[in-house]
Amino acid sequence: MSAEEGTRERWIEGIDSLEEINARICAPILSPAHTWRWWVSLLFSGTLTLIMVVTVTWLFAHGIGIFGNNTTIVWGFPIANYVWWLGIGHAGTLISALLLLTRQKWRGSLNRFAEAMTLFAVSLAGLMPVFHLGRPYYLYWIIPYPNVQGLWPQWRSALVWDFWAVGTYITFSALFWYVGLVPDLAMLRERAKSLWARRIYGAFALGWRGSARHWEIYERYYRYMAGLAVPLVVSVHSIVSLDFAASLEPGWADTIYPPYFVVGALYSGFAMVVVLAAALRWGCSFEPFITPRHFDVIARVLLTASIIMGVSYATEWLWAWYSGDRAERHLVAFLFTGPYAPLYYGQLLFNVVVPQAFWSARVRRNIPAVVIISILINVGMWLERILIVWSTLSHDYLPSVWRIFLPTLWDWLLLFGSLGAFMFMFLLFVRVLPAMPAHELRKLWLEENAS
Amino acid sequence: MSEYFLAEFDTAHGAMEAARKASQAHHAPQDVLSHMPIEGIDEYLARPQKPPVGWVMFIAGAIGAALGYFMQWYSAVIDYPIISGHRPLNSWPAFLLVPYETNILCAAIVGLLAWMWMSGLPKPYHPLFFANITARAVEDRYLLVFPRDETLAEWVTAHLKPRALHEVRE
Repeated sequence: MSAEEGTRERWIEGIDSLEEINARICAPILSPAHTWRWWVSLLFSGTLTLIMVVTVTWLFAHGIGIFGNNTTIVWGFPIANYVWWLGIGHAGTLISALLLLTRQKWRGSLNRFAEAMTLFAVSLAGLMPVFHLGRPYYLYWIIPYPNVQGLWPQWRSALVWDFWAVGTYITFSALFWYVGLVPDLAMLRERAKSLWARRIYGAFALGWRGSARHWEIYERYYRYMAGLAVPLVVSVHSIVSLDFAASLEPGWADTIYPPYFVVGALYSGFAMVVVLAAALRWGCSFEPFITPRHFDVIARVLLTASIIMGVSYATEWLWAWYSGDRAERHLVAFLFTGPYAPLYYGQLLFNVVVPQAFWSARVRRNIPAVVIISILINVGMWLERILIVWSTLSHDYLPSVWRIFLPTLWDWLLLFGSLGAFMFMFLLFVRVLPAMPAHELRKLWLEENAS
Repeated sequence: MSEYFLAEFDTAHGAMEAARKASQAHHAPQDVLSHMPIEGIDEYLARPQKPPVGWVMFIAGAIGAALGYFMQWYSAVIDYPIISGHRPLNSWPAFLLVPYETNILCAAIVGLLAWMWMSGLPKPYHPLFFANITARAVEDRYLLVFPRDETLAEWVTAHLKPRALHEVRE
């Protein structure tokens, strides 16, 4: 080892043995500290979850008239929430798969909880269009099933493509996550104290013994799954963008939409990973695994994504001007000067201007700063999602139908309720399953400490 | 009834070297238990294998894509044709998205089943679970598995110099 490598920073800091890695990772499950913090958070997020349940019950009883939707702006919060949550759900599988294929060592600390984030975010995203259906009990009509009426779904509809994309994505993400968990479940089977915990972890560990044959097949399957995950992730938000781009509305019918949506999805997803990483670092004492260097590299990704977002926005303006289309040009003018203009300036500020602070290494390594900017990015991305829905529908071809969307209390309750439900599921996850992939971190630690 | 003894090693390198030596002396271990994958150790085992997971997934994916397309074609052309502006019934560009997804979905699910089938999982019972030391194999140890045999055990102790030997009896 050269002198330069000897002083090089490591991805795992302050760990002396493999056993310490195992003990730290199992601690939140088997011997939790700071339980009051967890209970307070659980109570808070549980209350918000309950609010979401009440909102949805009220929605099902009274119909979508409880939301601010009107005859012009027929898509409102649920669709924006859908796109936003699905975007957040993109980072997990992509971090896990792309960083595995490119052999990035910082993947190990992030992939497990980022994949959990994906599962919870995509579950919430999948519910949103159902809430918006008006007749949610006819949801199954989108599924091809044998029926006496001899009906089939309309395969040329972007909404049917959504069903296949989101359904595949959530199934795939759950499989990928579970397979990665199996060696760690075997570790929990051996470490759990109560008989029932051992039995339950043991059942889900499938009898994993760490045999060379197990590993051989596991590694192959996991790598092929990663190879499949990357095109899948790219396809999912591309298909979602077709809900908009396959229409004929001004501001929506753009060929830039699929890549623009995919980058936006990664952007918000990475920002959410920062927030969760900071929470885990603080709540579960995972400081050795989630170091300032991890925040540094994610901040670089966020910076790159913010520049791509800025270029995408500018491309939209240029396209509107260059097309010479009256409706397109009016829409851009409406964004900058209409009633939604403050929100639009907020979107540009949070998504493009503020993240430029990441050019500074000091900001990238300052965890509170990275977290605050990440939260602002998530707000900015939500503004982008709602404005994509609102601005086009508020201001399309026919001036006589131009209207403004005024959100109701129920709109906000659904949004914040879904945030609470996300937090609630994540809190349960960290106490039941290892939030860090122990087997990958053991390998990484051995590599870093090999002398 | 199968009985084993396990040779314990501290490092992946140690386990790898021992497996290589044993294999060269025609005493190839039946298996290696380790808390992380040891790249390349598979070729020193008694029965090395090259599991065709990739091929299984490829074929499953191809079948999934074909079925996805066939379902749409059958529905739109044969069973429920909708004539709209005399556009072709087989709208293949619009029909490519569903096969793309069913391709990945089938490859992933069949791959999972193949992974379980080829690894012999789920395995609720295995004689190796009776040795306390195998619990450590999923935490931080490296264990070479040999069939239980006095002379072989002596050979292993003399030549491979493991940290310890453990017997497994049912």
